[in-house]
Amino acid sequence: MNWNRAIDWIWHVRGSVPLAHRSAQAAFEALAPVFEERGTTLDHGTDTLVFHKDNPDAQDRLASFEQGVLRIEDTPDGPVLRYDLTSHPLLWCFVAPAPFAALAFAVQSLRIQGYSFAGIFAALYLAGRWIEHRNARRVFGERLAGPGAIPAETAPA
Amino acid sequence: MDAAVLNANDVAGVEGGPVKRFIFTWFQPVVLLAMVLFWTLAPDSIAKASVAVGIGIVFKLTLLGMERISERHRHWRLTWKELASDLFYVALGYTVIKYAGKHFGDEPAIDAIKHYLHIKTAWAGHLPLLVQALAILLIFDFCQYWMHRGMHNWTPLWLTHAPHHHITQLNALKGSVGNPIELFLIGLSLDGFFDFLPRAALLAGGIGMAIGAYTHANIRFNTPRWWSFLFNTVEHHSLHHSPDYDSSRTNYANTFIFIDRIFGTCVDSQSAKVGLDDCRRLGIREQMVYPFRPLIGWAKRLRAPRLPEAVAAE
Repeated sequence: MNWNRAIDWIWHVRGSVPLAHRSAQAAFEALAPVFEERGTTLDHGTDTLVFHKDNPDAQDRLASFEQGVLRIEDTPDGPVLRYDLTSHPLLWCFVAPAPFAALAFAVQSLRIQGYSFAGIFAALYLAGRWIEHRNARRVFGERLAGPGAIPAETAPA
Repeated sequence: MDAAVLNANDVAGVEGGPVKRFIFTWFQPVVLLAMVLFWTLAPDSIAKASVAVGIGIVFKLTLLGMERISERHRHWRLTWKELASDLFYVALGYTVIKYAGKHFGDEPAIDAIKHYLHIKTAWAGHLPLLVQALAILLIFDFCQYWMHRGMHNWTPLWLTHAPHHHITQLNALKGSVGNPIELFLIGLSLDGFFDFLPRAALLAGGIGMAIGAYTHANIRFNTPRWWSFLFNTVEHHSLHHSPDYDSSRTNYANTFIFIDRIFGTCVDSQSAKVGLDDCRRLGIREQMVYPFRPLIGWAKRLRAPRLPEAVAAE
């Protein structure tokens, strides 16, 4: 069993966005402004785009993700953009309740604070999964829903 | 000064209807008055440290909500990642730093000095409660002013404080962001030399919260002029966080900006752009190791293989 694959949902956000009959090149061109951020580097393939972020700015809309793989795939319903994004903040937020719970267990005077913050980080992780998943879908969806989609009747086969 | 630094008179007020403008004009003075009344009149069964902690948490949550209603700058808007990062520092403040302050901070040191020198200050507890609270706040703010000013003027202290200046936006929890050594140092005070009543400490905490909690918040208020004359505001503190070097060496006081006025370091202005150098934010790991950068660099140089030219030159 691949253990990494079994647990990597903790720090990965995955999803897909329909391409509205865009070509792969048109789709990546439409997404280009999303990656015009300080500290972001790109590796292009024919139907794949990989981004890396080194210490992104706070207001970078994908700041929670250090790396992402975007791939164009054909499906029976038409081409889709599949994304697989890696987030260290999500991972650390998932881990954070453990040390605070341990602190609460070890130091009597910090019991309430320790357990409180363990609970806060657990809740924050769940909120983060929902927020960042929605955010990624919105960021890619907004760009791909904009002008430039090839009309269905003229879309390449 | 930097182009992002604005004159206080050039700044727009709260936008919206009359109710919103009324709330964001009077919120700060009303909360201050409420804190004074509550901690002065509340029965002993309610006036406890745990209640103060609860009020502090509810108040911070309120400010985070207010940031969305009367936002100061769009580019300071809180994101999930920023919130998670900020909460980590808040958690450190409530646990590790609090523990260190209690066991290794000013309290045990002052108690030892008082015991050794037979200093008795029970008279302080007989002063009117509000006088005691204001004395605690003034002593604390005076100590913080000079510690903070020292941090901007002496490299070893600056190395602990610089991480805090690397924040690139202001939010209600950003006051907690920084290296733990700095947060420990900036919390040191001399009020422990006076035996003020515990209730006075709670009142002081309430007043301090009602004045100081806004200084890192992304909230636009119609702040009364008398308030800005006496107290630190987000306008003053945003200027202090400006990447412009001269601007960052102003407005050091945490609560009472008139201390800066007395010592000639107050500038009534503000900045929309905050950060240090090229305004890159620091991750948590970088914040933690920042004060030790010179030591790490020195150790690396020591371990690096020496170039033949350098050896020949010797």
